[in-house]
Amino acid sequence: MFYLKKAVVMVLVAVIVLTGGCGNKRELNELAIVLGTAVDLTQDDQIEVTVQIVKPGEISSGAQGGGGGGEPVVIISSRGRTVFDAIRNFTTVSSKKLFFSHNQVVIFGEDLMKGGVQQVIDIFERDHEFRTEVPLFAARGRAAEILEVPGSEEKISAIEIKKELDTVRHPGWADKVTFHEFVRKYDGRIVVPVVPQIRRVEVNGRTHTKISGMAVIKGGRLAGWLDETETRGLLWVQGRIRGGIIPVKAGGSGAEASMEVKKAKAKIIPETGAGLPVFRVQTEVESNLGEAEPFQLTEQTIEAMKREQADIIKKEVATALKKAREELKADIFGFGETLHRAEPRQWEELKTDWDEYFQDVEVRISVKSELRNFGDKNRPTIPR
Amino acid sequence: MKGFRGLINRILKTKKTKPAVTQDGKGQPLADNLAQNEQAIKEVLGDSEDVIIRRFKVGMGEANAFILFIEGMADKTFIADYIMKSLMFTESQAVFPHSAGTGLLELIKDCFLAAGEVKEVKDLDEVLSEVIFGDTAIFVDGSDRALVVSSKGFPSRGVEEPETETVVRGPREGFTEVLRTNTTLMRRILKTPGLRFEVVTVGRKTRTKVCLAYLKGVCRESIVCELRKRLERIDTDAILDSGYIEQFIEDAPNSLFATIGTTERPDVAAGKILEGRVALIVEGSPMVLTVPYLFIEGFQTSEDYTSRVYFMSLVRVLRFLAFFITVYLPGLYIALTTYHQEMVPTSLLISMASAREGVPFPALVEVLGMGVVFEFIREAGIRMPRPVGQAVSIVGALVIGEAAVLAGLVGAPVIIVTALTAITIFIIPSKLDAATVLRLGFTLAAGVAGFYGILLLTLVVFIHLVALRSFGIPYMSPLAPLLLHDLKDLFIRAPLWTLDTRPGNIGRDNPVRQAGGLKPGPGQKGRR
Repeated sequence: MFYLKKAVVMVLVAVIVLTGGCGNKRELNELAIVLGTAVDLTQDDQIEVTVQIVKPGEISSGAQGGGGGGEPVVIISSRGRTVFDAIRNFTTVSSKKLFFSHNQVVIFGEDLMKGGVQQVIDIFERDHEFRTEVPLFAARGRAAEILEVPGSEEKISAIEIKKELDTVRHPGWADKVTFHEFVRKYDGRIVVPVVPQIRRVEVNGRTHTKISGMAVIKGGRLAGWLDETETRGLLWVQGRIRGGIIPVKAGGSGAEASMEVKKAKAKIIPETGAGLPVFRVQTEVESNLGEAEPFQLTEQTIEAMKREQADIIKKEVATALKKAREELKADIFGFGETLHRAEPRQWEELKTDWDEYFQDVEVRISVKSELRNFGDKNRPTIPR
Repeated sequence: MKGFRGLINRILKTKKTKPAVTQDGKGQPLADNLAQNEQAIKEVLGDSEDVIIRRFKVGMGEANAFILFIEGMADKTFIADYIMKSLMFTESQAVFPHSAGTGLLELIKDCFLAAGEVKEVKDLDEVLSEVIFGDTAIFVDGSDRALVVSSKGFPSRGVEEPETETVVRGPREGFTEVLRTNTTLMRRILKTPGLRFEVVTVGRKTRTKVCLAYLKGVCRESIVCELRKRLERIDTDAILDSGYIEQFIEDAPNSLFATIGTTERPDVAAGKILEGRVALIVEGSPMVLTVPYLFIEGFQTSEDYTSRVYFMSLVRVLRFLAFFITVYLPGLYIALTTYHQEMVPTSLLISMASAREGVPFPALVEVLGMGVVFEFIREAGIRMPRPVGQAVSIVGALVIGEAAVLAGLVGAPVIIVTALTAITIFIIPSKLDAATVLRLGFTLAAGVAGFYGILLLTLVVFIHLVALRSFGIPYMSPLAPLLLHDLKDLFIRAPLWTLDTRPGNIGRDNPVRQAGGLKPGPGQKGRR
C-alpha cells in the first residue's frame, strides 16, 4: 500500500516535470542572436526585414585568439508579405534559428512609414521574443542601410546606435522612444507619437550613423520630420531635456557664453472656461555657467543671461509649436492629453476635431530661468 | 513537544531486536585455584603472544600468585614499580605467611598495593575485558577473586591541532582517538559539577565505549534518554569510528542531510553542550558527535564567536551565498544557456556564446563532465599519498583546466562555473556530501526543464528539509518554525552581550545563559 502510494506520487512528479517543461531547449550555438532589426517596404509592396546577427566567435577577446579577424556581424535580409512571413523566410538563408530577445534596436524605413506602420507593429507586441522596451528609430531612406553601417566605437553597430541614442538624448537633439511608448501613444490617439530620426552621414571620410531630430507619425503614417531645434522645443514642453548647452551673450555684451543645463522641468496646465482652453506651459530650467569670454560678473549681467536663456528656450518652443500646428497639424506635445485629464467632458466635445482646434488654442509659455553655479573661477582672465 | 513524543512512539513501535550481546565465557565465575584460573584464561585468550602471565610468590613467602596483563596495552614500568615491587619485596613480609586466599587478596588490596584504581572482580569475563583494555589482574592462590589494577599505557597520538575546522583565532586543541584524553579536554573547559559523562559500550567485538557528555540541568533529559535508548539498540560487530554510531542512531537515515553533527574541536563541543546539546565521544574517534543537529549549524564556526561582529556577520552571509552557489550555479548556467537565453544580459550572452562556439557537446554534458572531473581530482587529492600531491594539481590545473579550453573541448565559462562550485563547497565542509548530490540533482533538473525544473526540485528539497527532525527538534529551526529570538545568531551574528539565551527549542529547559545588560560602556556598574 505504502509503495503504491509512493509510486503514484513519483509518476505524478514525473508527469509534472516531463510535460510542463517549456520544451524549447536550444543550445547557444544553435541560435543566431539578432541585435538589430530593420523593416522596409520594397518597391513591389513586400515587407523586407533586415537583421544584424552577431558572430560570437569574432567578438571574443582574450586567450582564444580567434577574435578580431573577420566581421563581427552578419547582415541578412529577407522578404515576405508580413513581418513574420519574412522572418520565417530567413530559414532559407540562415543555418541557425533567429533569436530576437536581445534585439537592441528596431528601425523603420522611410518608405514603410510613408506607407503606414500599422501592418508591421503587431508582431513586435504579440511575439514573446520581442521586447517592447527596445528603442525605435525612423530612418531617412532605407532602414537596412542604417544597419549596414559598420560600428566605429563598438564592434556591433546596433549596440553603438543604442548607446548613441543615450548620449544624444542628453542635450535633447533627439529623444528615446521605446516600442512600448510608441505603441501607447499610437494606440491612445491623443498624443501624436514621435520617433528619433536616424540617417547615414560621412564624418572624416567614414560613414557614421547620426541620430538627430524626430519623425512624426500621425495616424500611422509619416507626417514630417522635426529638426534638432524643433525637437528641443518639443522636449522643453515635455520636460524631457536632461542637459545640453545654451549659448548666450555674456552679460548682454558681445562676449559669448555657454549655459550648461543641469535640470529642467515642465508642466502643461490647461485653463478651461468659456470657449477654447488655454494652455500654460511652465518650464523651469537651472543651468551652470559652462564657459564664457571675459566679462564682468554682476547682478545685472547674471540677470541678463538668465533672461536670454529664457528667451532662447521660448523661441525654440515657439518654433516647434509653429511647425506642429501649421505644417504637421499634429499635437505632438500632449496638450490634448492634459485637457483629457483635467476636463474629460470638454475633451469629449473637442476630441474628434482636436487637430483643428489644436491650431487655434492659445499657448502661453513661461520660463523660470536660473543660473546656479559659475564653475571654479570667479573673475575673468584678461590679457594685458 | 508533540512531535517529539510522536517520534519516540514511532521508535518504540519499531521491532525490537534483542539487546543481549552474546559473548564467549560470559558469566563464568573464577575458581579458587590458581592453576584452574590460568587454564580458563588460556582457553579464552588462546596462545596470543602479547598475553603475559607472570607467576611469583607474594612477599618472599609461600603464597603463589600471578599477574595477567597484555603487553603493549599496559604500562610495564607501572606494573614493575607499583605492582610487582610492592608485592614481592615488601618490608612486612612477616604478615603474609599468616594469611592466604581471599584474606591475602584483601590484605594486598587494602595495605600494600600502591595503585590508584583497584577493584575486586569475581567474574572471569569481566576480568578479561578489563585486562584486554590495558589493566592488570592479580590472582592469588586460594581466592576466587581477582584484583584488577588500572594500568593502561598504550601508545596514542597526542593532542594536536585538528586538520578540519581550523581557525585563526581560538583554541588549537583537537580531540584524539583516546576517550579519556577527550573527556579530559572537555572537563578542562567545563569545570562544573554538572558535566556528566555516561558510558555505553557498543559493539560485540570492538566493545567500543561511547560516552554521552552533557550538562545536567541545561540539557533536556528527554534527549539524553532517547539517545541512550538508541545506543542500546545497536547490536553489531564493530564500531570503528563515530561515523558508525551516527548511521545507527540518526533520525533520517534516507535523507541527504546529516541530522547529527560532528566536530573535532573541544571548544566547539563544549559550546554545543552549553547550548543544551549532548556530545557523543566515541572511543577511537577524534570526531565527536553532537545532537540535536540543525541545518544552520553547518554555517556556524567557532571563530564566529571569537572574532568581531561585523566582519563575522558578513562572513555568515557569505557562507549562505557559497552554499547557494555550490548547489545552484551549474544548474543556473545550464538553464540560462539552453532555455532562458533572454534572461542573460546581451553582452554576457555574446561572451557565453563565443565561448561555446565550437564546443562539441551540449551544455549539460559539458557541465556534468567537468563536474565529474572535479570530483575525480578532489577524491584523488584525499586518497593519494602525500608525496605525489604535486601531480594532482598539475593535472587538475594545467591539463584539465587549460588544455581542455584550448583544445575547444569545453568553454571557459564552464570551467569558471565548476571552479566556483568547487571552491565554495569547501567554505561549508559539513555540507559537502549533501551539496554535491544536490548539485547533481539541480544540474539534471535544469537540463531537463530549465528554471522550471530547478524550481520544482527546490520545492521538493525545501519540503523535505522542513519535515526533518533531529532528536525532536525541527531541522530548519529557527527558520521554520520561525523563532524570532534566535535570528540574531543566524544570518548575522549579534554581539555576544545580546545573546542572553540559549537556542529556543534546545535550551528551553534552562533558557538564560547570561545576565542582561552586559554591553560594555562607561558608567556601567561593576559586577562582582
